Amino acid sequence: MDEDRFRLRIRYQKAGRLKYLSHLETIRCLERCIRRAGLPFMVSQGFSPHMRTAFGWALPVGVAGLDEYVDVLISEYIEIPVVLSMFDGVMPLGMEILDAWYVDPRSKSLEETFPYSRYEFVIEACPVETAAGNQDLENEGSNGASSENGDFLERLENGLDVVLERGQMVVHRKKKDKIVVFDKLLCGKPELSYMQDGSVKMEMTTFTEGKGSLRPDLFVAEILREVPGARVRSISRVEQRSA
Amino acid sequence: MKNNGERSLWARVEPLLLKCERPTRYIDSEFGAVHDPDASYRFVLIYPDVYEVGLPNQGHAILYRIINSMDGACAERAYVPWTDMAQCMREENIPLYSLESFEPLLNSDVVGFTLQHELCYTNILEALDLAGIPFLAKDRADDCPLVVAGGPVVYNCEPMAPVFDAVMVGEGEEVITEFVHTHMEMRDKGCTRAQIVRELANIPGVYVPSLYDEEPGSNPTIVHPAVDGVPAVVEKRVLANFDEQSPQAIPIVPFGELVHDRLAVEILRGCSRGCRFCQAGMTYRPVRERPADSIVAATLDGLERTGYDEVSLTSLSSTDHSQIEEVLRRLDAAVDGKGVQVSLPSQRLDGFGVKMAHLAAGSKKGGLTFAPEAGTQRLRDIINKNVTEDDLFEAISAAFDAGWRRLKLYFMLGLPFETDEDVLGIVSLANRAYAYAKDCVPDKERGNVRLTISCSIFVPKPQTPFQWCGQVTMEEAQRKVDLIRNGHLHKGIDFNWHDPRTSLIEGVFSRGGRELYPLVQRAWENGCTFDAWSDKFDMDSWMSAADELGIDMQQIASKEFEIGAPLPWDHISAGVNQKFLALEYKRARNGELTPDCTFESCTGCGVCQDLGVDISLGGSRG
Repeated sequence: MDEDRFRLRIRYQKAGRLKYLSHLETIRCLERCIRRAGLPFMVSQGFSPHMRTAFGWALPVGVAGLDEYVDVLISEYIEIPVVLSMFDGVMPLGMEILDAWYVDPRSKSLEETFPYSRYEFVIEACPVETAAGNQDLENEGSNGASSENGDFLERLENGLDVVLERGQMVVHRKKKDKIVVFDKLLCGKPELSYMQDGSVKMEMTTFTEGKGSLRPDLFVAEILREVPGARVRSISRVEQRSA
Repeated sequence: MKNNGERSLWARVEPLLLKCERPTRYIDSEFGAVHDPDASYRFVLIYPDVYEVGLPNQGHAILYRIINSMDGACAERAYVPWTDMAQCMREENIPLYSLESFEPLLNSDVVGFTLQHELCYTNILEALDLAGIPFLAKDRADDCPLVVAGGPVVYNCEPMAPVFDAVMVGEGEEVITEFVHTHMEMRDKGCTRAQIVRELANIPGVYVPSLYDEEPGSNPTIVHPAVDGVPAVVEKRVLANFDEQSPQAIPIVPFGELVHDRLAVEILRGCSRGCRFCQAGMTYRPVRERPADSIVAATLDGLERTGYDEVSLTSLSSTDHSQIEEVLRRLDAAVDGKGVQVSLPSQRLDGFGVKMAHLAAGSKKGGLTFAPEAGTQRLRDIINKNVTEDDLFEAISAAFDAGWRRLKLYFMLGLPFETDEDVLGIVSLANRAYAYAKDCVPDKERGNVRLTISCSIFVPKPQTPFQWCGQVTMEEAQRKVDLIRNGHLHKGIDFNWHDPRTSLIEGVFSRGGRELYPLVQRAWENGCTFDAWSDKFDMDSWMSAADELGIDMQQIASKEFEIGAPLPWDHISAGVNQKFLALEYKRARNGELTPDCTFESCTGCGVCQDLGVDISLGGSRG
């Protein structure tokens, strides 16, 4: 029944203060933007009609997204430049429409289309006392902490190696803890490099499918548990891709 | 000039966000929020509860827009940080800030609290403490912001009177601009705090507690003007041309889910059904309706501009609007196919009420709530709740025919002149309603019928015909609850009731005077905040606060006043005259009904004459 509908793929970014939006808040926010823009969106049938949208893999709260997507079904064809101009003045600060195009209504979902996510982390040095904000984390599991004066990037590199060596990490959840095996989820070794201001950039790519995913915020926290005097300044998903 | 980007606390707040629940409470940036860094005068509107409770408040939205439209002035918002954030802020020594500029409240010109209910009092102290603003008006220096208040509780906010530099009584639309103009001008002239508040007291509707002296030996405390020229009775402000004004409904669109997460369009103000227990029914008179054209236009415009997918047509009794059917039909046609839900906040208890609810709900039917308020006709007549059992059964029949399967009936316990028979009348009425509802649906759907009975404990409110009555004791309230629990309510009916302990606190602060301020402060010192949240309410801390101060809370709440005796709230008036209230009390005792003046003739409450305002209807009612 959707063959005569138009599936519009919108690429957007969620940055600045809006990186604190949860996935549900992001969905609600964008749907309200689409309504304010006045796009002729389709509405589902049934008891509780709602806008026909589909989103990709969720971002954790606190992680910015610079290459995010939403698909929305609309009932009439509108030229892309017009679509883009419809969003002028209806977006909250931090949320921005970057591009849009039409895709085949029968094509794969956003989740299937973009299983790969590339993340960038900025990690900075900080006084050890406030490193994790969580004293018990500092006292335990920081056997390598003696090399505190060493090169910052080197220390991070070591911390990363320790974590990768384990091949897995424990994710604490409300009901029961879960073990996440890096294996397929992590694509290649994360790369570290200095930035101009002395902080370190880490880049990594993850693969997500139905069952498992590697949360970037938890992964970097796992590394920093091994590296006293380091904290995360920012995490961004900078790219989503199909291969 | 108090705004300065460098004073923004954002960089210090941001590291706390991931340690707290729902960070979007604290980040501003919502669509519709207005930040004016050039304004020289900043009025912080603060709602004394958490963000998702405060943001939907319509009074706030109205004042926010009015102040922001004034030259040189800006309004900003603040809410009480949830306990996790409050703890983080104290640890990091970060003062309470307003959202738009992230500047400390201490740098603003006015901090204005909305008083929605009495259970917010400890949160006001919590906010002031986090802001570093002295609790008592008399302790504030000239450069400290004014701390003011407005909202439904002002009809007796005496227990918090020592906190407020000024209180605005009644509808805020006009008084707020007069207030801001006067304050701004005097501030620029370099006037002292004392000079400023004295001048503010000349604005009609502005009550300055420090200009009223306590009558020696009075208990509860009675106050009288302490200086020449301030009014012995401060009368509420009322908007005469309400019907001509477009609903200022364009709110800030939040990220997180709110308690009322929808566009609200105020379609009428006031209700003169005359329920004798209802404070809002007495204090928001007279009834003024907005015309259908204006409601429909404002609703469609509001939906378009906010992107909300739900709109509520709000008022005290929306189905009483003379054009409600026309409004609903026009809106249904206009939003067809857009996935927009139209809702009414309350249902009139009759077939027409259900018809309107059906028009609004369309195919999406959750539950329906009716409020018979009392279990017997005798008691319903005493409270002037003009509904009969026939009305209820007609409404139930209409509701279940239309497809509803879940129904909630709302009652009060501890009403004046209530007997055990009236309490057990709730059980009887509920059982019959349940059986009747089951008879209204096809056999195979009978299992889906759900009935809930919800009881609250009556709090006698100032400025109502029951203002002279005492509240039932906690023990008596509990006994009444137990009467129902043990009263053979059908096992298919759910029964829930309001905690008599929170009702007692509400009763204490509804009925007491200035002498109670120390109780609020001691309770806050003992750790009380968010008293309206059942999981945060801490009766033991309240009890020990009262014990430490030698206060008998039960006695205060249960105290009866002689008609004609001075009352702690006598110096504030909602325009309904005391003679009318006393007459209504007498009629209550006799079980005599008083009609609604928007359906029949004037009942002589005095509002229209005293305040110079008329009832205005879009069409004819009844």
